[in-house]
Amino acid sequence: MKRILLMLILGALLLVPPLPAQSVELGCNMSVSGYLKNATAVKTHDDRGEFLKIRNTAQIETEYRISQNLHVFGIIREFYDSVFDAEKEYRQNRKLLCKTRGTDWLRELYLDYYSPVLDLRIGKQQVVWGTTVGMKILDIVNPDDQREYVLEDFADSRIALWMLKAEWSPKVNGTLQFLFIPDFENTFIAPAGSPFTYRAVTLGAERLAPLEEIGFHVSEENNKPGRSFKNSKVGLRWLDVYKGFEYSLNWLHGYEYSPYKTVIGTPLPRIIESNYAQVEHFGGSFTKTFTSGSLRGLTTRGEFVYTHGHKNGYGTEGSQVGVAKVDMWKSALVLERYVVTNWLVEFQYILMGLSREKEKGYRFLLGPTQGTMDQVETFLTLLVSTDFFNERLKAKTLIVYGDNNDWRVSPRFDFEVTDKINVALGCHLFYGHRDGLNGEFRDNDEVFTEIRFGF
Amino acid sequence: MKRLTLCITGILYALLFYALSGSSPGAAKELKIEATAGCPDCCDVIKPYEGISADDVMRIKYWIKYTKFARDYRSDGKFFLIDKGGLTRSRGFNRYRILLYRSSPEYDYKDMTVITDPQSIKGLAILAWTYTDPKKDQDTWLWLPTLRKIRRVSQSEADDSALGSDWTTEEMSTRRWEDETYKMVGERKFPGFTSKYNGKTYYQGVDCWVVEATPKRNPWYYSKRIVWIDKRHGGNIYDEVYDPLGRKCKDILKVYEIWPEKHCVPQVHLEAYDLATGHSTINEIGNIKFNSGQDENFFSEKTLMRTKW
Repeated sequence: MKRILLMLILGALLLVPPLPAQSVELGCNMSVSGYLKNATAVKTHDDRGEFLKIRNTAQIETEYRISQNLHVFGIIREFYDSVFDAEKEYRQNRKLLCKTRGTDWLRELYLDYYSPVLDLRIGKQQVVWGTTVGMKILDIVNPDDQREYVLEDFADSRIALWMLKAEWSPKVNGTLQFLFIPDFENTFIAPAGSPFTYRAVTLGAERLAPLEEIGFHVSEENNKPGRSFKNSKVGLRWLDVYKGFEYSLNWLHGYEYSPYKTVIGTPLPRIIESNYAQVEHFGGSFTKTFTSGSLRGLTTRGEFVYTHGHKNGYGTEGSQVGVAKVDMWKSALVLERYVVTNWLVEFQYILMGLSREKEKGYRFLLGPTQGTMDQVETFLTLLVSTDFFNERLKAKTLIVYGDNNDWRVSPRFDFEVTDKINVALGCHLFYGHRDGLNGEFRDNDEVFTEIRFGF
Repeated sequence: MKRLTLCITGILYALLFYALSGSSPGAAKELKIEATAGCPDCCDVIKPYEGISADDVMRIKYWIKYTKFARDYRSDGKFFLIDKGGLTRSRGFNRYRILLYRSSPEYDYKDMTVITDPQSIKGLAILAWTYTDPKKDQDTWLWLPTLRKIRRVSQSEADDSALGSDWTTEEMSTRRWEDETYKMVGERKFPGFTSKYNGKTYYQGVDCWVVEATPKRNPWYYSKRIVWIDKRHGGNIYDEVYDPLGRKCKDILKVYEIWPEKHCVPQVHLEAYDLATGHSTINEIGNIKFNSGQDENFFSEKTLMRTKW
């Protein structure tokens, strides 16, 4: 019923008389804009054409300019995903996943203060350090909502946190960023029985199911670090451009957003605890665009992060034996260039590694799949994008390859119907072993459509 | 002795050749920037001289195009993308520029464009640093609002459409005086250009220099353009662009305001017509301010990050 109602509202709004394309100015100090969107995804492996998503989203963005250098900005977003009504298989998670969780409807809310040398942003916000596509390397400040794996735009899947961000510019192109984050939210992953449940979660649920059947209840405890000064995250970033070479040095101290899990109780488990390791991230990035010479037009980017104090599970394929401290690092080298007029090609070479291969003779396990990890895992990505008809039609394809023959191919077309209405059509194709990041979703190949009405 | 004389003559010719080749091509000794004393808001002026060469006319044209007569510039605008069938899409924008060539050995100017509508691309911001060295491309950063991140990007190919308009990237922002060779066609009265957008006829009977500009890149997406330059200020009011086969492929109209007291000459209305596809782009520029005291700090990634949408 709710789905039908929302569809009707969306349909009615698409038929409203033309409004100005720009945001609505309420007086000279306030502007309001937003959008309504329907995103629908259908599984292609299922003869019935099972839905993976029927999500209707409404977002309103408001800015109020108190003075020239003092602004308040907020985003409110609500969605309803009717797939949890439409598909029996997912109905058990309806209450948890069909709409915005908790206070997530308040997507962002912050106060901005600007001056030539100091900018302050206080409130609920997202801060982005890394710029890689398809996979995150240095983008470590905010946790993610991974209910839909990593298929959503990162800006939509990032969970905004309450924090203070200060940007101090002691020189024209150099900026020191300071972050103080007293808020904590863990990375959200889909529970068992969802369209994009990680294999590790499914395996855990399968192990517990026989115990539940005989009436033995295993409780789960999520031991989030309390919101206190001591537990706050603190970060620094120095960003500078020196003779066309842009670099950043990054440091972040605080708790990881993804938990390590431990089982309490023998021989039968009583509690499964989720705990969060306190870590130090040391990172850096660089960008160089060649503006002359034989490499003219080529942009190179690099990102690196070393995480000290990370805790990772170890064991055998699909079965965790224990948890150990092991440092982790990730790096990306990116090459980007326009090849023919408006065809942009971007190649990423990504490495992820651990400081040692084994613990007590066991291999470390990949968190989402519980597959065993090599000490160094390699990923390659290729993004090709272009546009047609004066940018009315945009096309792009992202290909992600993991060294265990793990693939994702995601072509997408965006068409601007009018200033206010945009539609998109695309698909996500997964291939690989069940223990691979993409292979675990190999039965979830999907075709999706989006229709968006902006105002 | 004869050998010594030949040797000295050779050295002198070599020195002369070196001196000539070292000077910038077409250096216009006659073109002088006249700063307006006692008027901090006023724009500088370059006065053309009698019998001016095509090279120097085009120098003034670029001076006007990139608002080099001012120390900084800002404007609000809108461009309309109109297809053959009349379907119109629009883009609103704010534009900021600081001219640095007077004080910086490295930077010519820095420029920022922020898209204000429609909602689907609202907040998209482009920061470009243009170098004094004509052999160096711009450095460009993009704020991608849908991703909430800044990306330093390769400069678009010069023949690519700029933001979906009928302006190429080169026409919009990267073409420089050094990219073409110039031939003076003559001095003529402009016959007038009637806009298909608003029906107005512009610049009928205005005295112009007519210059033929040929790109140094060959092959290139155009073979030449005929540029009509208004004698009153040196800005190009009309361009006819010809494709590599010599067919006229684009009409460009540029309308200027002349601020007589402050000597500034901003572009306020632009039209570009792609004659092959029937698509056209109309730019309306308003709320123009010069010399408002913008800070170079503003033209940095920090400002891009201020964008919220």
